[in-house]
Amino acid sequence: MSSPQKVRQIQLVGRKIRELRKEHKLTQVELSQRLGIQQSDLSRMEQGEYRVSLDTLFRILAEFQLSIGEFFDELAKETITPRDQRLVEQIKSLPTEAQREVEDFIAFKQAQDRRREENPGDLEGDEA
Amino acid sequence: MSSETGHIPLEDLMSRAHRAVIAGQLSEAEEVLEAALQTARETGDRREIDRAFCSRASLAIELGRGDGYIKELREILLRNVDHESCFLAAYGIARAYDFNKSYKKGLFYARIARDRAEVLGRREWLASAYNQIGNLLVVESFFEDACQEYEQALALVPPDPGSAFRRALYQDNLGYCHVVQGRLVEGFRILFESYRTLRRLGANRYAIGPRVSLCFAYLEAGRPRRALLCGGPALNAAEADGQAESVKNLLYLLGEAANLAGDIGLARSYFGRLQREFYPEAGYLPDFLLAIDVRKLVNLKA
Repeated sequence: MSSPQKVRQIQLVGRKIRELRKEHKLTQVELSQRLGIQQSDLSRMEQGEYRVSLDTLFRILAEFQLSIGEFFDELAKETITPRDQRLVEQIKSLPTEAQREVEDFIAFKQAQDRRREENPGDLEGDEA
Repeated sequence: MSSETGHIPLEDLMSRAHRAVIAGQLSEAEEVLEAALQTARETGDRREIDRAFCSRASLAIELGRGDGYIKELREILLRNVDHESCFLAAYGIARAYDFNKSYKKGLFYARIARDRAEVLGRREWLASAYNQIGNLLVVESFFEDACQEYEQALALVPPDPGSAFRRALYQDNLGYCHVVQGRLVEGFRILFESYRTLRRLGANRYAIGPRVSLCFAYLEAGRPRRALLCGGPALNAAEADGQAESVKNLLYLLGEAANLAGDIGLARSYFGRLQREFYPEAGYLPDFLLAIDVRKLVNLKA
């Protein structure tokens, strides 16, 4: 099993907290009161400028518990992970011709996936 | 001074209490300070009573039982023109607010304490006030400002062996700030100095602080295996000493270190313990922490 990808961008977490707060129709004042922190601190946290204790961090997560899955997925989608970065670097390190071959192969795999989705029976055995 | 005023026993008691605090014998220190307060009351000297009360309150605050003392400390601050009593009261209130997480109020009183210490010209007290202001800025994530306060505090501590304990505590605080701000070389240097000094002084319970900071520093330096080696014994020491906050931070740091080192099983075990022991309602935590690196969100001193 591959290890879960790490997400490093604090700004994204702050932005996500802001989005979740708005989805839950909470003002900064309301949410900060629930969390037991100052509104100005929550504001700084949403801007990625404020670090909190583990207790406060987990209180925030608990506040949005129903959205944890979504919190997770979107962060993973929006974030360039170390693996993504490594892949880009690896591709860039190849000669131009080889880079084109990789691009062609990606295009081929994408087309294959699209066909598989449209006609699940057509490509049976392709991967064998 | 003491022999002339007949206050030798009180001063002796205060010194004994101070030594007991450094040695981590806090129950003994409490008893001695209680006796000091009694002695002061017997003298009937209001100033001595206030000073002894402030010292007694200080220790109670450090032990997390300080809320009940704030009102009387504030009265001492308001009724006194004596800068010494005012410093002690204001400093005690700042610490109490720090403990109950009213940081902005704490900052207000810490600055009063600093001003009184400046008037008195007491370098040691001024250093304590700067350090306290730094602590209250750190929890509010004003790391650069906090660094300046800690540096001022350290500049005021004399380089003699008697001040080594105090210097080591300030160094831990400053070292953590350097690490948070990415100044790793400086952070490591100061944290190691702090740790070694505290170990040499036998102040083992206080040495847990720099060990937590060092564990974090290794993580930030991209050396998770060193973080595991540093944090593991620190966790054992923190557990043995009943330092719940350090245990919590170390379980998190060790989980993060194991995860970064690629040992997912070990990471899950640390995060699992963190969840079971501190956040039993949050079953999602281990998975969350395995997937999301929250190092840049977390303030270990908050």
